[in-house]
Amino acid sequence: MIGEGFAAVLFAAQDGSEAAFSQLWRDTNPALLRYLRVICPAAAEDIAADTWVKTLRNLSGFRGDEQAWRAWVFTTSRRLVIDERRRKARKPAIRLSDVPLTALPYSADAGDEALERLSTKAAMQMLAELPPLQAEVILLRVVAGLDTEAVARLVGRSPGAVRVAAHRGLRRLAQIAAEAGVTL
Amino acid sequence: MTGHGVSDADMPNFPWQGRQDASAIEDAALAAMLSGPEVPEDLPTGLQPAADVLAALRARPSGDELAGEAFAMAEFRNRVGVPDPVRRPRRRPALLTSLMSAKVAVTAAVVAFTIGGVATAAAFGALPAPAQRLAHDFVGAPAEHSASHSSGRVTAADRADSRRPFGHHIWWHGCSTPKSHRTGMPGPHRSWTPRPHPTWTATPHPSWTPSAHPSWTPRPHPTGTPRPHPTPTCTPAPRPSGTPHPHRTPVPHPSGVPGKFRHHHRHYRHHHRYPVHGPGPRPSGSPAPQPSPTPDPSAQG
Repeated sequence: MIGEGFAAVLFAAQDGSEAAFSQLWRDTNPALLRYLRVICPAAAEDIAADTWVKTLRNLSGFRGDEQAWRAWVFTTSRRLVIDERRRKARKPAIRLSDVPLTALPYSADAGDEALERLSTKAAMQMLAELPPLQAEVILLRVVAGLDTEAVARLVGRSPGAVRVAAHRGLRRLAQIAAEAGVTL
Repeated sequence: MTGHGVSDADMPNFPWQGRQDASAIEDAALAAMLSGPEVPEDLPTGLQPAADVLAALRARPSGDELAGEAFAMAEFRNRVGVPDPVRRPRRRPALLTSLMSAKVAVTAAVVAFTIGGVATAAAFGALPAPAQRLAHDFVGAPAEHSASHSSGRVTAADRADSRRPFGHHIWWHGCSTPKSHRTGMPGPHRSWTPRPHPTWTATPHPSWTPSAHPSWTPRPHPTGTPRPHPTPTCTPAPRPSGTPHPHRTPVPHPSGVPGKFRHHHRHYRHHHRYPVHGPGPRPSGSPAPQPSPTPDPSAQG
């Protein structure tokens, strides 16, 4: 979270400052990717890129504080996730076993990266075991930093339902983590 | 507790276990876990693994999560941004600029054509009498009697010109025309004689006699004593628009009459049917009469 200087950074980005927009992007994109990697892991990077394209298209017209900014970006991303799910439902999926090994994505330092990101990745995998609404509510509360009312507006539920879903999800997450015995 | 035909693994044998766990965890502790990165001190032991998971979710960004910055910055540059060190001024749309320049060009062309046409008409005396008078008064175009030449009417001045050899073409030459002391231009036809070229000297037309011009009367000098011009000055022939060509350097004719003068001379003679009233073309091979080098200033009056 940027904090008190958010208004100045946003104004500078809307005025065309690359440095200001870079600060906004670096603050928002990791949370967005973590959210998308749990909600829609197959197309997380693509949806994140599309989210920024849409955000940039309307950046000059945005008005609001940092909470509103994050709510706006995550709402845009969530709508894209819904579109992606609909598109995927219409198109047949290709099984991974049918894809040749040379066409699979490859990272040169995949081992190092895996070790580096073990804790975060393990946490996201545990979160992915939760029911979708609980996982999404927890991600929006914890990763995106939104309050209960903002999350309720975003997911289209009442604040009470969001609160209940978050509490149930945390309890279930505690059980999963205890059963796995993983120290993060 | 397991139903008929259902394995024991599918349904718990002690159905209230989860509810017992839920009652042990306070909602306030859960809300505190969600509200911020700090782990509450009075966190129940059963929630500690969940707190660790949330802390891992809040970890600082890794390298792959910042890998798409180049794409985002390129998109930002295309849609919104400009480089920070050099802020370019906002440009107008190209279409508007082209339309504006086209309008300006068309307007300039129309204005140039209008001015040029009026100047040409004034130069040839083709304007109506009031307009010609105005042109004569303000820009030094020929007086309105010149207009009668082109219209075919014969005036007393025309008859006087017809008795004089080569008539008005003296004014076209501009040589040894008495200059106004105030403007440096010939009095009656100020704008018809542009600035003389500094390197160009020519002799007046051989047949010209200053006293022969019937219609010109020199204006009195402001001081009352007009200073006679000591030497004949030569000014280039005027262009129809009244301004000399800026790039073309006139080549003096061996006879002293520049090529342009000869052109105007022929044109003027043809236009006014000088072969009828004038002496006619000089036979080739006959020596041209030598011009008088210094016309008598007193004769101009």
